[in-house]
Amino acid sequence: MAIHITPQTLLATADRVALHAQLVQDFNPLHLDEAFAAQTPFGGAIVHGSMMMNLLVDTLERAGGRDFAAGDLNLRFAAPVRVGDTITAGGEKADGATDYTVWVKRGDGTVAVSGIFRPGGDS
Amino acid sequence: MTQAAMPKGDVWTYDDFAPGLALKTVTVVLDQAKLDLWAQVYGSVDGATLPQGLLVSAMVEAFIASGQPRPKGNIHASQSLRFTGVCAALNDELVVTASCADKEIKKDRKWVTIRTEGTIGGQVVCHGDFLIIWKL
Repeated sequence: MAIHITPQTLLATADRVALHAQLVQDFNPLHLDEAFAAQTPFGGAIVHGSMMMNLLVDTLERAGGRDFAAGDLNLRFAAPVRVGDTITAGGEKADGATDYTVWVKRGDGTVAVSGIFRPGGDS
Repeated sequence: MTQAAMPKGDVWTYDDFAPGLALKTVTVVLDQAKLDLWAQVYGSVDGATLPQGLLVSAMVEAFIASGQPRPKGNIHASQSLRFTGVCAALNDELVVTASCADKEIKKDRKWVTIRTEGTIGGQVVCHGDFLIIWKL
């Protein structure tokens, strides 16, 4: 039977992004300084990739608890998310599959992070 | 703390990296202050074990601290992480080693892979690669 991970959504406000920066000690101005980020190809401040990764890991853990305590996570940061947008993390496992397809989406539905989680202990 | 390589100039640049180069080993304490910050960003915490995401946050913090200062505007392109299933507890010390696993220039972009491994009390809890588009 297919399994769907219950999604979680966060509003990535500038305040929340600043708190995340403090949490991971990543003060890259690409995420925190609109004036700096406006001069980059992104055109404005973007959410840390690590913030989306955190939300995804938390979403998996809240959905499956210790089932997600061991395994391999492989992620690609596919599209930027502007500060102020929402991020929604989720995933699913097809019937008979081993791996979960996992993702983080922007408010407009664009996939910002894509990847897989393969549950299992150290090999 | 190990004796680690240093950049030749004011910041770490692509030219400073070489596969196998060890960066600084960093210890992050998974303390109440970090847990409180986590809860402010991601919501309340239930249960006796720390949220897995706090472990991820600490790995990111250690990765950031392993090579400083670095240029403004680096881009996190992809990430692998293996969780071994070892649980972290409040006030555990996560010791993270970091090294350059690879570097290459593709389409005028400078790609650097930093390999990390986090241990608590000598047990590996998490390891993985950060693939970064390095600005300089």
